[in-house]
Amino acid sequence: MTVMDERKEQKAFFVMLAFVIIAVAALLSVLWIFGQGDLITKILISVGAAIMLGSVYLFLRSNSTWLKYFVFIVGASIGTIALVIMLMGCSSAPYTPPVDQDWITPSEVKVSNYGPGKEADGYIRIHNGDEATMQTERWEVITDPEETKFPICLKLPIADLEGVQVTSDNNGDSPTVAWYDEPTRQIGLSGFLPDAHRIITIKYEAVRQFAITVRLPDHCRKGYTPIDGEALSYVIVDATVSLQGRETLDVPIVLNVPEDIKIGDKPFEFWVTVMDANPGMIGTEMAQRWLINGE
Amino acid sequence: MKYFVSILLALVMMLALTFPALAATTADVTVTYTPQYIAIADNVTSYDFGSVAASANYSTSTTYVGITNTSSVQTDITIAVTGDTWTGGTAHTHSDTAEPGADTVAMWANRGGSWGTGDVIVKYASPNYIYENCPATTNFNYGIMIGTPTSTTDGIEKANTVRVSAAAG
Repeated sequence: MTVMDERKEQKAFFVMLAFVIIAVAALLSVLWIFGQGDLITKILISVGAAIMLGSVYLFLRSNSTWLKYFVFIVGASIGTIALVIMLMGCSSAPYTPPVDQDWITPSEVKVSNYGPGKEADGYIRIHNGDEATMQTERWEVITDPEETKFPICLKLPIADLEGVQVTSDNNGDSPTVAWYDEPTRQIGLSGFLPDAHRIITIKYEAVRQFAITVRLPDHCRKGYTPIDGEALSYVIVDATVSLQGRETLDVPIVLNVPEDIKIGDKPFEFWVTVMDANPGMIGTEMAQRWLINGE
Repeated sequence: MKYFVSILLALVMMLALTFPALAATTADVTVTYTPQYIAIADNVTSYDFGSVAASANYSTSTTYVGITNTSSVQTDITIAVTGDTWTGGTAHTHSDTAEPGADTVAMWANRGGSWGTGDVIVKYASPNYIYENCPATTNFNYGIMIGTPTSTTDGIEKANTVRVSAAAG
């Protein structure tokens, strides 16, 4: 083997190595973005495939044996086919909902053969994308003579009762949590000096509340009309739910319109929506469509 | 042959994933679900226009509110106010035709453009789209503008809530 041949072999080896690295990088990039399914993803995959084909072309221009050409052409072709399969499957790849975002699912419920007097059962799955947050409340309390304990209604539900911290700026107090009533969010505190004034601070891990509303749709699917307003009251679902940080909850929904209520013959639609129960002045709402077809 | 098998495999995968995930019956009523996710959130919770004059327009930037949309499907997104009146003192009526009047407020929204071009009336009833056919996992921004009443009964602060709603498109 001459020095020239040796250099050509080295060059061919490095081209092959480059090809393998590029191919692996392209496949990794596909795997990294797998499941997104949007235009950018497809462009990236296409670029990956193009890089792979380009590296094959570069390799063909190098000087090496035909056997190696054959092996790498076959390898590159298989890699390209794999990318094409991923490209085609990408738009239908399973979607993984983000853990750190609120979401609902399913987005649509279809009910067939429905009529008054019948029952249809569904659900809405709600995810709280927030982590658990510490809530701090301050209260000014003056106890009456002989009064050493009192209840306070908290703004938000408590996630962990054992983690509640109560302090007082009155050194004579030894505040402790006596009881907690979850439905009313009332917490009973004891250990206070009677006939005295203090500012108490309550720190607790709060759960987040979501408001669930059954309402007429903002817009209907083609062929559907908004459900009669009276029938809306026969959709049974909890008005509010409380979720801890990153918790997911299935909330049952029952459609049970009595026989004497008219809902019309046409297919109709209503929405079950989920919104933060304390949204502020600007908020977002996620809607689940219910599409009802008659008998 | 390989191409044919690959294409066939991909088609089978797509069909399998679009098939209803769950089916349940109660009597002869059939309930079916499609496993898609609706996920939107915003990055601000309020805006204070401050002290305003009568018969004037006040606006945020058209990118004031950032909407993070990670829904797995195309969505139709509407914008509305949740109250037909603005509360506080003598309530102001919210005008669904965007015509300010005595104790009557108008509101518009604009999705990241320029005010005056593509403005959307923010209504209480029959909300308008802020983004129809919004592609899956597509974020956007919007701003709001109010048209203040021509005259007011009192100078007490008024408030309403702006709600952006997403449903599968």
